[in-house]
Amino acid sequence: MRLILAGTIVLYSIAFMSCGGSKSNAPESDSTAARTDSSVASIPTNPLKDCYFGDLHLHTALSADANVFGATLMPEDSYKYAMGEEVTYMGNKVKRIAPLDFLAVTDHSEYIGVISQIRDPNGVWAGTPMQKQWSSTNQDTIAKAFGGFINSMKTNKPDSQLNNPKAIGKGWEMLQQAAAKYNKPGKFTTFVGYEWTSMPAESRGGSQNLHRCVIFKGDKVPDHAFSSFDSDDPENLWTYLENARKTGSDVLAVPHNGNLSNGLMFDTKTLSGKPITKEYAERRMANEPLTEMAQGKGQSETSPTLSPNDEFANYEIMETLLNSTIHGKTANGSYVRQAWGTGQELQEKIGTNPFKYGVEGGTDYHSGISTSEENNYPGSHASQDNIAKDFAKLLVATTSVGGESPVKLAASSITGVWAESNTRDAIFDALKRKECFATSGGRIRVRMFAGWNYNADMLKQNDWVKQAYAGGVPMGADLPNGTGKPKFLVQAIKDPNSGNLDRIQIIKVSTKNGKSTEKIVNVIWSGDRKLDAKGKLPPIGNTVDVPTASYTNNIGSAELIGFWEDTDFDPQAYTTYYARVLEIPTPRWSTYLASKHGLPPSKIVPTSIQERAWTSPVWYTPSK
Amino acid sequence: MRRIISEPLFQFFVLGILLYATVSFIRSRHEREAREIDVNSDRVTMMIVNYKNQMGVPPTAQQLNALIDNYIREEIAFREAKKLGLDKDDEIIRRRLSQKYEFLNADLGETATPTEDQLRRFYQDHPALFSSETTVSFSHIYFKSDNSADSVAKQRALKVLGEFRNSRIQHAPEKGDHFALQYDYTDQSVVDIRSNFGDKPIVDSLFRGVVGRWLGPVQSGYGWHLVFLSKRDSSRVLPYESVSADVKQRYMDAEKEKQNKAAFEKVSKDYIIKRNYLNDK
Repeated sequence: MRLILAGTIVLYSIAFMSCGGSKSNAPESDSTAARTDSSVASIPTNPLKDCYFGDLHLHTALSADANVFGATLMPEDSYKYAMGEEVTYMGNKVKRIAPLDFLAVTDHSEYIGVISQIRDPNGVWAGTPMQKQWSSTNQDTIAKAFGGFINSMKTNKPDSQLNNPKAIGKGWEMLQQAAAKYNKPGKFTTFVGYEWTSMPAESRGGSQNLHRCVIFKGDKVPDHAFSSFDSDDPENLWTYLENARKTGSDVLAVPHNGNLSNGLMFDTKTLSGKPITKEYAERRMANEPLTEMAQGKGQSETSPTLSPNDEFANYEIMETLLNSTIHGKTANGSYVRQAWGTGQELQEKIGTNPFKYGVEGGTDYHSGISTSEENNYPGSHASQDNIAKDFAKLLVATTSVGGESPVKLAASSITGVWAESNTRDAIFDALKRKECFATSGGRIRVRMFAGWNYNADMLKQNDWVKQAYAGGVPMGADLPNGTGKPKFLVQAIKDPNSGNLDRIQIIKVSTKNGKSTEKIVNVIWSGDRKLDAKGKLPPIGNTVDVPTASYTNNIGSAELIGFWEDTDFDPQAYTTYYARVLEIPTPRWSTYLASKHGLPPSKIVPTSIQERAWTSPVWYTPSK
Repeated sequence: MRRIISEPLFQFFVLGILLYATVSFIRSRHEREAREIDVNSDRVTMMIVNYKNQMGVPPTAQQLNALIDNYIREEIAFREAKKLGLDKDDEIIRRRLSQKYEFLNADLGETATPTEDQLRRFYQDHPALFSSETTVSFSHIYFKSDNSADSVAKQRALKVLGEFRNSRIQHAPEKGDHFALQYDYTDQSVVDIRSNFGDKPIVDSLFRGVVGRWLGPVQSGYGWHLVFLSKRDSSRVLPYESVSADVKQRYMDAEKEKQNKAAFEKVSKDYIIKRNYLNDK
């Protein structure tokens, strides 16, 4: 017996060594890269930039949790759906009305692809008890499996059976191959990406969401997708990104769901409890220039508690920590608008703003498809909110394995970028310089420029965008020092598949002597409404007919364009300016669902919502 | 005695005994083989390789013993199940075996590297595979309907359309309102129009309307439009040079499919298919 063993091990080693060359297709991939480069060079570029829309946050059956929920679509299906092709989701044909221009599939790196391989009927696990266990359609078993997944990340203790390096390597490779296959320079852009799923437990046992999506510029990516099992501290993720950048493609990380972070996302100390230093702030901004303003699990702009004077703050709020019923702490460190102030307060002390974030939007759907269209939303978490089957239950259910009511999931969000062309390089560079914005799911095109010498007449000229670039800076940039008062040009063009526009606001967060204030200015609006003494504008009205889930565009505008001068400008105050565009009220997806089945609308969520877009800010820093 | 030996009945009897002994001997050997489970070194090597593929590391001696025990257990259960005929009429086993057969028999033939001539012929024979989408080129006049009922903008558009009767105007954005995007579009596909103008009646007008005249008023997601459709390119075959890589890929795919189909047909020729359901009432 011993002899047989020794012999077979020797045999095996020989077999293994001879298979060691399986990575020898490297020159092949280089030649395809070269081919892509030459075709990229021939793509026309627009120096004044065009607007492209995409999703930078999407899960497929390669994600452990999506897979136990019953998601079957794989990254290739995600790309096809985003490009406008029809795919089958939960047994029904689905297709986007307006396709996307780019997409990054970002599966969880923890056990990436493992569950999918375990469940593969022709795979190595076929017929094993493990396959049976992970293929269950019993909701209690699913809930338990999901709870186990979340718990492994809260406690940072991977399940030894699932944390299988070989299977994980295969999952990571599949993700890269799908991105390579569907990247069509000039037509459709894909990015290799994944999600780092750090969620340390808080004192009550709740999960604190510090997740970040990692997006690579090119295809030269590390063999291993750094996971929260490697470390749940973002500082160690940054080290990984810095090393990846040195040896391969440029890369950035995008933190998301500050709203579910229990105040940790924009904390004034580091995760290891140290005070934030200048070095930390610089590293943070070099590695993660953007944060996710909104997504399926709520928006992170602000809340009615933090911004009592903002009548639009009560929008897609979610504050229950994931996979729990614990309401997270949100007084500090959870919302982006507040973080822009906190960052400036830290900047006053240490010299660098650690939260100088631009914004993007993603769906974070666990279905394999970016279904951000309100009137074309089939659910987003497979068996957990399959609206084709469980519609009646969904409208009234008050809990889910995620924590909150499934009806509270939003048909949201996507990212808009202003880029010279639809290529990896151009879009990634736009993300890096923060010339991008988030929308609540639609294709509102919004521009914002800031300068010292703009005037309202510029907007009447056909080449105003060219003049705006020449005489100032776009969203995402620093306003260089100048004299006088900052002036702004804003333009929004509606999503032709959604409601007209209500207004554009500029929101100003300024900080002086350790104290931050926020101010909301209505810059331009539809119709002949008048501002009151406090600068508030009457509501636009609401044409939504709930029983039929319909609305009319006889209120609101197709385009809004305006000029604003900050007459209260204080040259001594650190200031963040960003624009917010609001649509007229339109039915929420849950209202379309109720209407379709003749059911009463859900009482848990509003029947109509004002969809919106948020720009990345422009920053002003006082000269010392 | 001799009489007895020459008696056919006796001869039959002896032959019967011989036959019985032979059959019993063969059967008992078969039965022993059926009861024998041979865990040979090939089998164990396979277990180690599978384990390593799955787990990334080879099994320890203890794990290997467990794997072997598990194999023996599975094999016994498998044989008992077969004795009971559990494999008969089992849809999953039937499907799995047929999948396995098809998998093993797929792509067996080598596909020769195609010649340039073969590729060009394939390209000519399959124009639909290498064609562009139908696209439209047009100029439009925009009538915004902000804060008003649709009928207002539509009336304004109708009035302008009336002025165009018997004129040769093909481009007149100044007759309407300022439009934030473009006035003139070239080579737009259905998907482009749906994204840029909305999934609205304008899509149908552009892709079904008459070329070379003003159409409308027609609604988009922004308001109302008059559209001068200057060109509609039905899908056209793309130049060979620009799709040559695609041609090769599709040629190879088609060849493989052809080979697989031929291989299946060869096997299926030997079967007699009776479609009795057609006669059964």
